[in-house]
Amino acid sequence: MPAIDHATVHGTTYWLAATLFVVTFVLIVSEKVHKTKAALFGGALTIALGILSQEEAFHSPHFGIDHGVVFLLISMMVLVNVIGHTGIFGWAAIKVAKLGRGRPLPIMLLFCALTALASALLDNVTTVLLVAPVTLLIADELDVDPIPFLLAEAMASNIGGTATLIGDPPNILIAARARFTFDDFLFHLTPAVLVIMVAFLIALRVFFGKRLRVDEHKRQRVLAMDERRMIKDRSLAVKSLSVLALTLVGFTMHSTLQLEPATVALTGAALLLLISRGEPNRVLAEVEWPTIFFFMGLFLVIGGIVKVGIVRDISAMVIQATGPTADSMKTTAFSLLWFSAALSAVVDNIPYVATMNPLVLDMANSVLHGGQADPNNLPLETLHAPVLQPVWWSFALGSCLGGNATAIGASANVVVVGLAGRAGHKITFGRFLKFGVPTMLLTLVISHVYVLLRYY
Amino acid sequence: MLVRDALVHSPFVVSPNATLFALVDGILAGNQTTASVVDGDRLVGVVSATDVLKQLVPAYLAMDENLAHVLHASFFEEELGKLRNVQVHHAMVRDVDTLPPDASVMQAVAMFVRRGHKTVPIVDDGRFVGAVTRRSVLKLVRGSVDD
Repeated sequence: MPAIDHATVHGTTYWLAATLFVVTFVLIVSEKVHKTKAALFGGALTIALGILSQEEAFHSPHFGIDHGVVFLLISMMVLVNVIGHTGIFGWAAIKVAKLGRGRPLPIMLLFCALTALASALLDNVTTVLLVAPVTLLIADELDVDPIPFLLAEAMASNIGGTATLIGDPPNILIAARARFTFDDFLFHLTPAVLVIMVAFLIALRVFFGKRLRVDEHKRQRVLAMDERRMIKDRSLAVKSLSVLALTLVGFTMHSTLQLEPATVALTGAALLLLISRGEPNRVLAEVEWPTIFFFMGLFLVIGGIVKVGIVRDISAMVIQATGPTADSMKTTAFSLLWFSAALSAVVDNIPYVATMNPLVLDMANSVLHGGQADPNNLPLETLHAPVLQPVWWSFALGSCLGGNATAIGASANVVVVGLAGRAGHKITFGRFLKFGVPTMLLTLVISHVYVLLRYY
Repeated sequence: MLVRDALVHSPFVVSPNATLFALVDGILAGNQTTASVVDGDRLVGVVSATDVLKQLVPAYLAMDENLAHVLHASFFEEELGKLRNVQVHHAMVRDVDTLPPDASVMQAVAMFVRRGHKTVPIVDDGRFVGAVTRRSVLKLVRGSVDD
């Protein structure tokens, strides 16, 4: 690893990196400039101004672009794009609506369960993009207000995405820095998410149980739907589900196979492209390149503040405030849970997590190694030390679930509000808050109790 | 050749306050599917058969057209019924490409080909003076070229 130039710490480079980070972050959060433009420009300046060397920017696993994260995201987007075009999701949604006997409340609960499951395996935005049109159709056929359904689905998507390594970008980022496996997430986060999901569904039932009633002939319209007509390409549906299943098996075994999650996802995506008909142009064009480049720029800007020692200085303040010791980091864990949730409710959780990751690593180095080890290259036994585990999982739970509070807290929320608006059903910021804040509080309280019972 | 030479003899014109049903009757009675929407002598928009059909298509079908397969059989008739009192200004396109009468016919042809327009309204100093269609342009060109 290239040595940190201590001569420049607190010198020009230090303040240059700090200013660049603050300006980039403010631009991203204020949405005055597209977040991808802001992050890429910040990243480019980080290299051009010499905060990071070109070698560090493009080839260092500690300060530069994390190609594992980039390839994992691209590969999952390719898989999802192909699956999205088969119509399999529409088929599943109509099937589930019929399973709910065409009654609104069971349909709402089942759609939420389906959305949460899909979000755990695919990305949240794609999941809501697939479920929202079917929801609008069913609500139209039943002549009920679609907004409660759409709000509940956005939240179910954020909750479901929390369960796995690939479910939500914050988890991908945390896994990359803490070197957690897919199975680690299944073992530590999935149980919490299952409890949260059950509580969320019960809350929906209590809240909406009596309000959603429809007459018999509207119910019959749903029951008369033929879900088989939703499948656009049967052969591609079978192929893509098979590849997805293989990829998921690969994820659960990636540490045994000594393969990175990115390698597993890339193999799945490449295999699906190979066996599906048609040119790859369309599928590759639908990859969310702005998100990918956003990540690249962000890695560079954050790499800059890590290298010059800003993160180490902030970490010292966090240690002073929350007093973690080698025996217990309880206050740190719970502070991180609630602080992450509060911040993720109002700002994009991706830059937040990317910034906080090195902070947690530095804190672990200070507390567990007296600051003597390299925080970017901590041994696995430190990263996964029992005392540090609740900190990581609280961090993930807070960052993912905090997004439920507001209409801008998570990408899935923004997409749902946009789709509802296009369909003539305006969801105001206030209406989202009324539903989102109680949901966030419910899920956070459960997370708090879960961490308390499981780790303390 | 100028677009004033290719003007349609009797342009298809509707008032913004006309009902969509009246517009549909106009479409069915003539051979033009796009009407210029004119208020007094001012052009305020254009409206086409597609704009009428768009009113019948719920937003979710634009998001996933496959969902049309599972809508109940009488859905289309029920939606059409809802259009009974809807006025043209709800469905028309307000941001319209126009040409002055002394524009070259080639400019109109470019609009037909590159932008997919079926009719280009001709506006002189803010005043609606007529329209050119693909048919009226072809008629003008055919009349000037020998076999």
